[in-house]
Amino acid sequence: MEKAEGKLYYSGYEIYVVDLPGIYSLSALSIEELIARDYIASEKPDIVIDVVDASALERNLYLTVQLLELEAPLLIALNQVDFAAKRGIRIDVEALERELGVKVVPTIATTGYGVDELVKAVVSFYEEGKPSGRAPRYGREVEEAIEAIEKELSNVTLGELERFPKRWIAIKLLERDSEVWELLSKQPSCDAVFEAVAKWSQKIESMHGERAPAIIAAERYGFITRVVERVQTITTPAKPSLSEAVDELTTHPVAGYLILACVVAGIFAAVFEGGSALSAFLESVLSGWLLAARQWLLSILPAWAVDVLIDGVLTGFVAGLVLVIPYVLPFYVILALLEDSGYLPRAAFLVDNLMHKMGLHGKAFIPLMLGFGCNVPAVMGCRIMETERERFIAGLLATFVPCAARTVVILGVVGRFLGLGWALALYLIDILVVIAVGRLAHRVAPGEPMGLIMEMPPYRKPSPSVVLRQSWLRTKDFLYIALPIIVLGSSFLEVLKVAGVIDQASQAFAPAMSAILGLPGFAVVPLVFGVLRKELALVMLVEVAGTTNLSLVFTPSQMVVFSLVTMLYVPCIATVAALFKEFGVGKAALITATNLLVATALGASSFRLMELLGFS
Amino acid sequence: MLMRWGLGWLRRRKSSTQTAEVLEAIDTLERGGGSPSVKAISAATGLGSDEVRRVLSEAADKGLVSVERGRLRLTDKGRASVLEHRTRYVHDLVLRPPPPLATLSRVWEREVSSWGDHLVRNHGIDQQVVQRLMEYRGRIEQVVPLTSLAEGERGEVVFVLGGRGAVRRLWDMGLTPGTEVILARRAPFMGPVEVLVRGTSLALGRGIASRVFVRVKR
Repeated sequence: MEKAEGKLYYSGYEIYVVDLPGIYSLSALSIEELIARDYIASEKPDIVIDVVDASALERNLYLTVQLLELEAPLLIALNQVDFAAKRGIRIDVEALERELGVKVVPTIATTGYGVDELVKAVVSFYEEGKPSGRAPRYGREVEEAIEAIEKELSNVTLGELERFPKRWIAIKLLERDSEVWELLSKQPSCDAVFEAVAKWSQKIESMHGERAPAIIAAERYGFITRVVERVQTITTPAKPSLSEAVDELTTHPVAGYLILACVVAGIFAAVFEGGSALSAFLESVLSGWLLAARQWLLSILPAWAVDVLIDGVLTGFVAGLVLVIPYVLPFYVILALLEDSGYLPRAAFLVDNLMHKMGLHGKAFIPLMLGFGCNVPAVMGCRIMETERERFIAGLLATFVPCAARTVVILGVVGRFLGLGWALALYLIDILVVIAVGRLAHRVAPGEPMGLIMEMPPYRKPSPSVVLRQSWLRTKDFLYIALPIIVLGSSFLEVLKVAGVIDQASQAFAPAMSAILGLPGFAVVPLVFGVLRKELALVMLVEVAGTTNLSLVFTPSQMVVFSLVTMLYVPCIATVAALFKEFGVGKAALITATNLLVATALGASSFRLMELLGFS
Repeated sequence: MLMRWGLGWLRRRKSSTQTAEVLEAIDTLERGGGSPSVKAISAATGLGSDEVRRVLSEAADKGLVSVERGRLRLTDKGRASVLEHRTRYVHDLVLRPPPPLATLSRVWEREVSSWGDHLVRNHGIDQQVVQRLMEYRGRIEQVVPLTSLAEGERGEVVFVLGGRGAVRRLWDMGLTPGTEVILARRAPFMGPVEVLVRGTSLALGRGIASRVFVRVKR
């Protein structure tokens, strides 16, 4: 998994900046948390900047405290001070510095306020050495337990755990942290440590009448509450804010769902109505350029090389752009607007129940929505799910969500020749498939099902810079992962085509195709190319059919089957790459196989059904 | 006939709740180091002193309480009955199967000898949680799942049931025992609930929220 990285030059220093994933805690509950703590412990960065949300100080300091326990060289950026002030929250920065023994710089990231001071603080921090942050002392029993376990730990070799502070390992053992536990049990002769942990856990539990991890969490929060009481003053704003009114409305049992339906319908209408016009325009301009390029290239290169270069490399690139600029990017801008304003968590709140029907919970709404743009960022977006199990199910379902390219195929074949009703019906079938696969995965996938635990930030005015950055980050997933693979893949396929391999393969598979799906043999080629990018299936279909009037070569039922299969049969190659990156070979293969199986089964049965019903 | 049976059943049921209340009050008072006088029990349960006396004499007949040197005490049987009452209450509240199965399970439940063991063995509830439940001071009926709070009502987290991951996450988000929470709103169709905790707002799925037990604060 990647971390965003960058370089910064300031007063003669070159500062290497790494953005770690946003987390609430350092428990081993999600990959993000594991990444963050592994990075801090093994890379030993010179400075760790903890971005604390000033409007939710108590919750945010929980991570700060754990970073102090990890003995990270800490600097706090107290962010969103303006927003906190608006909500009547005032924080005494100097008092907070005193309480935690850490330098605190108030910032407003969206306007850049305080960023200069933050960089200055980073430099002076580096020059002057580390100020000692103050991790909380626990109650007497817990402290005794930590001390005893630390002592046992100094008698054993720690292996991979060597990079962590001993006190931190002791605390994590008492917290039953699964990763630390596992790493330690790999080490020889550490029985004494585990015995000490068991003995002291027992002791703490009998003293407090509650499990040791709960006591540790409670005492951490106890420490934080005391700090917050000393540094924070809250004056309630006189009139109820607009934010609360909007909050009330958007989570209302009736109005909330109406608004949600309007928002979703609005997004699709805006993106696909506006997108198709823009897409057509871009296509005409760029294809003109392609034609000119071909003419010019033909004068210097042999014909087959021109075919590979133009039809493979350049067409792949152009097709990617024609999809990204009109469809994917606008979709993500709208989504980022909703996200930054705080609407998405409300939507997740409303649909949590529905998501449970698919074996997921409300948070999965976000990656599934992303999937309507492009599956690649959707698969990446599954990181917000806490457990491996939920992440996998969300990833699996995301590949079934009809992305912009699939929508183009559905509209271009069924929508154009059979009417919009049929296109919507296919959409509906797809959603039913998502639900059915989800339910099945929920039953089969191993692990403990996890419900929704999600912070609901207050509404606020979205910041243009945040929205643009967020949209760019997601579009970047597409540009950097999907686009190169599309270009490479389309060049490769073009080479195969020039070499005549495609024709042979198409003849070999044609009988199977017509027997199982009832499609004419020439449909093999579009389906092969569709693996590359789904909308290429339509382009190639027109090419092999030799006409843009598909009703001449396809019966209506064949159109339905073709669109259905194209929609479902495999995630496109870029999505497979994203799956591979996020889940590894095994799960990526499993997800791809599931897609293929579902598509074949559904395509074959709808072909038989329509035959039976006499619909041709 | 049916009417008489029904009335009798209701009366028995009422008296058994009253017995449970009185026994719990005695248990709480004993643990608190106070002396369980009729007056104190009456104050704790809200029952009239005559009512308390009647329940006590019935309980004494059943061997649940005894009077030694003028001091009211729970017998071992009485203490066991308090624990059974508490564990059974929690069991029925969260873990009871849906209606058609519930009737069936009633028959089978006669086999259950200890509800604490049953919770641990059949529902995978942590032994520690059951322990905490049994040692709870006060009326167990005041401990309810978070989901049964009314909108705007306050509660104090007593314990959290559930799988390791979810419980850990809840603690990390600040829902540790003793924390005060306010139920802000509930989504329709058995959807999630929104709670205010430690100055922020959290959405909790219905399943998770129904396993967070709080003491109602009025």
